[in-house]
Amino acid sequence: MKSSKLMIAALSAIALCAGFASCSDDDEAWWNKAGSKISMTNTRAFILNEGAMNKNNAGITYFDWKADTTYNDDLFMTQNSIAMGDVGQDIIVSKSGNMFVIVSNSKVIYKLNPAGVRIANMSIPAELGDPRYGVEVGNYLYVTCYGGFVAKIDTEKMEVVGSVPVGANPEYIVEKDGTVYCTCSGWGKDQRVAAIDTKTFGEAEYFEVMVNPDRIIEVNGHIFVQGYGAYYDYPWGELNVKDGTFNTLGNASAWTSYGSKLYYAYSATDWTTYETTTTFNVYDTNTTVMTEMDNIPEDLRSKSVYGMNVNPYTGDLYVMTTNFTTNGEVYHFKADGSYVGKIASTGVNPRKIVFFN
Amino acid sequence: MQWGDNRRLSFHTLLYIIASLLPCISMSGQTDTIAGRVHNIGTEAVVSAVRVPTSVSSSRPTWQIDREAMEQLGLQNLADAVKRMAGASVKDYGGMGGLKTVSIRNLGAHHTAVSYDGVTISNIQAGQIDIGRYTLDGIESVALSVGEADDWLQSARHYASAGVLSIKSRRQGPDGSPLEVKVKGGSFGLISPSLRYWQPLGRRTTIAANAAYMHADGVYPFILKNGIERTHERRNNSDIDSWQGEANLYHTLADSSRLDMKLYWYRSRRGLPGAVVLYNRRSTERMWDEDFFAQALYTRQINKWLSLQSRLKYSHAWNRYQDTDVKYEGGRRTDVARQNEYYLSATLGWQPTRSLRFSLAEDVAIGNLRSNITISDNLTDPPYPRRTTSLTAIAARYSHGPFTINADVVGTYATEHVKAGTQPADRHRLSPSVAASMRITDTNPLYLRLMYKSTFRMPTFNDLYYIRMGNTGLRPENAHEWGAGLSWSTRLPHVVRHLSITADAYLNHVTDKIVAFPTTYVWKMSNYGKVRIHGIDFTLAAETPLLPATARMSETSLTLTAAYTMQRAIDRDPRSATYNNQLPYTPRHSGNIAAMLRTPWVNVGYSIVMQGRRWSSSQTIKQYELKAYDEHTLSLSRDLRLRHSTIGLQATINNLTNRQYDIIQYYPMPGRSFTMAATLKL
Repeated sequence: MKSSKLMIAALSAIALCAGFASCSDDDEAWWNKAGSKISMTNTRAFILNEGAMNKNNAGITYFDWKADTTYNDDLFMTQNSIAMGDVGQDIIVSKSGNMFVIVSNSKVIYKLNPAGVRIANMSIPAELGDPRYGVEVGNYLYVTCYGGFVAKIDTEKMEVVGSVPVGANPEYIVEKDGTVYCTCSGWGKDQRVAAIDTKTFGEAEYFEVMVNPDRIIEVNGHIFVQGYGAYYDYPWGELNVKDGTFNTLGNASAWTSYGSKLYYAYSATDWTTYETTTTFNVYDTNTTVMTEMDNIPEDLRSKSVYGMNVNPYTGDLYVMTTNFTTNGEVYHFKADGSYVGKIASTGVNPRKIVFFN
Repeated sequence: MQWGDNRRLSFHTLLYIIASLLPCISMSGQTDTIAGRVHNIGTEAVVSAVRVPTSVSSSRPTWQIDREAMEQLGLQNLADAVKRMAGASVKDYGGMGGLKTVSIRNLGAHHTAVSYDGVTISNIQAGQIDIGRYTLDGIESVALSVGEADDWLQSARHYASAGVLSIKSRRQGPDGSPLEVKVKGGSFGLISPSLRYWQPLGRRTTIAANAAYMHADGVYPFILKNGIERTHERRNNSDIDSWQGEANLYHTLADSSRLDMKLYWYRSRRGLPGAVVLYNRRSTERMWDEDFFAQALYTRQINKWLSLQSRLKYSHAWNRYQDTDVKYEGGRRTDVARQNEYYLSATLGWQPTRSLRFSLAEDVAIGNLRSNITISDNLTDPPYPRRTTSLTAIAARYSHGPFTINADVVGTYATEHVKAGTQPADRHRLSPSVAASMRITDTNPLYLRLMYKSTFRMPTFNDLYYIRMGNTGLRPENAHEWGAGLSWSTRLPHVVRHLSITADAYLNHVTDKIVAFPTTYVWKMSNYGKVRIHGIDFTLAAETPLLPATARMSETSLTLTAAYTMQRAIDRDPRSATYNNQLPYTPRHSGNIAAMLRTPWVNVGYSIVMQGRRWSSSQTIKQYELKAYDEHTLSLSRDLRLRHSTIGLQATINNLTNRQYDIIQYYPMPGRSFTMAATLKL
């Protein structure tokens, strides 16, 4: 058992190295386009479009992050000839080079190759509840499930091999030093972060943070938590997992990280004018200095930000916006903060982008 | 968006939200009139030398379908009938227990008043009436009036609505039988026995009672399209059991005034199958509901000039929604709501001269809601809202020669009281309306009609008080209707007994529309958005005798009706991302055709309902396009006369061509199904 794990880890490491080695455009890894029905560049990115509930319109937008050119149809449908399902919640790049996509209301998790072609899929049993977010640690994907569980999924067999109860309605999950941390929202009735050691996968430990926590992220060894708060003002702050203290730092409704920096956006709606105003900031975890981003295009300031991601290969920032009815947009900023332009997503509610090279 | 929050909403609210998100959602401009068969709406008779159907002579478009036509066409419930009326559209979530609401000229279901034997049905919680629960067995006629009906003694609520669906229950005719027993059965496990009983008590009084039970498994097959895959699925958790009972007392007083009293009771339990979600067949939502009302309607001709009609009603509605899933606290979510309404209304009519008429109507209603849902997470007590509404309508009608004009104004005052949370401000409004009709020619009746009406709908208790989404700062939603129409009626002796053609053009504006307004995470009900709807309704109704009656045989005749609606309903809010786009679920073209052949041996009814392409989203792209469909219904019926009784037999094939279609996307409609019914009349 132990040796086989070691073997898989070694193989993954090799695969990872192969992935890094195949950076140049002409040197394509064998798996990169297997089964693809369209031609793709290596500098590819995939936007997960959540879709609207009960519309079965979750999907993936493919774009070339070098040229900012998009493929105009839902990539999942193009590659697999079926729809992804209802409510695309999370997309995760595996160390194997594949992707996992969690489709919450359909209770499905897909394993896709780096061209978006389905390799395998699995259903989450009803006893665990709708799957939400995932994080890959070793050969397992740890997925929060709405029934109040973190499920451990064998990514090779694509089956649930264990589950640990956590607080009700867990949301985002993150890993630090072999421990997974997830928020327990309780839909407003919980205020904790649960921590589970992946080595033992035993009972969860808890940290008090805020009412209805949602997002959790690891930046430069620090853990930050964001939530709805008791009054829906979206507080965020740092959780010190050593002494269990939580220190509120500001308000944020979407965020992402790059290096030591935490990029975050805060969208607030004025109910008398129905106008939404969004501000963008950068928090440097080394200096603890917050800087507001300028160079924000005027039209972006009035939009609801649904997700943010940084291209790990360039440091460029991508901001996803939504109006909840029509296809979303993605605003592209250079690593230095300058605005490049907009990309149209092919679906409603774009929420996360993953990058390949 | 935290999806879980959404999943916590009750089914009705969810549907409501869906409806609000797709502003002024509407399925069709379904049409039909079985005009010409009835000439009497409300208390106003429109009879002239040539048979002029109400739809032709009324100053506001009115379509009516009566029991004979409903029976011959094999229509199963009220929604089936309304789908065949011009200007009406039915939002149908499919199946026996699926919610069905009616919207007139795309104004939205909240703007439609539904009245049952002269008194409106109210739902202060959701603001819209599920017409799917009314079977047609007990219904004599259904009429749909744009604006209001031409009944001068109607209640202020009738005057205040943008459109009225009037249901009239059956009464015993002079040759009626005292007892009727019916058994209906059909596909998807449908079985429904019912009983009707009439008993005269003396010269002046009649009592009538009816009861019905209905059960259906509701498990119907459908084909799910998913990319290149076509899978054969079954609609699960779609079962329904319902019980319904009604008792009526009709009494004529010594001064020849009339008193009609009614007790009504309905109870059901059903599964809510929900939207078809790909890869997830689990469906666990259930609903129980109970409705009760007692109403009295009193009509009196005081003297030559004065008439009075008054109404008194108490109604009670209870519903419980339950969903079972591990994501809920304790593995289950239960929403319970109980609403009461006390309603008093009186209309005084004064006719000083033959050509001039005035009426004054006053309605007072007190409605309350007790539910276990709080308005925010931070409040532990539900709001228990109570609303007191006063409606005052003053109407005048002047007719001179070929010319008739109606004008009215409705004043509304509403005040609300809550136990917890913010109390909304009082509301005052004046809503004017004017309509005119003119007979243009003397020979064949050709009429021109014009109308304008301004109405509004109050925010419902769900809009105001639902957890997190509720907004007590909401203003009423306004509707403005403009209409112009031509109607013509004629006959050709021995060839065409009657032929009528109508063409109505309309323009509606909805402003301050109440929608769930999205922000990044929390959605809130808001007055946001503008909608413009314009369209044309055409209708045709004709009846021709094919073979005359003989001494031994009744006549053979054919009745044909057809309707066509062309409609544009567009988002006119410049702030909207879908500015100038067609609203979801609004086909540009829709219509229907019905034919009824009466022969001495068998009666045949055939009807087709059609809708052109439409979109399930306000984003009018290929992905959300719903294809055009046509649904055919064939029905055969025959009465067998026995010595002391009659047995009526009927067989109906619904959706004859087994067309797969959705009215609301991912709520598939049933394919071909059969219904058989036998009625014994003693």
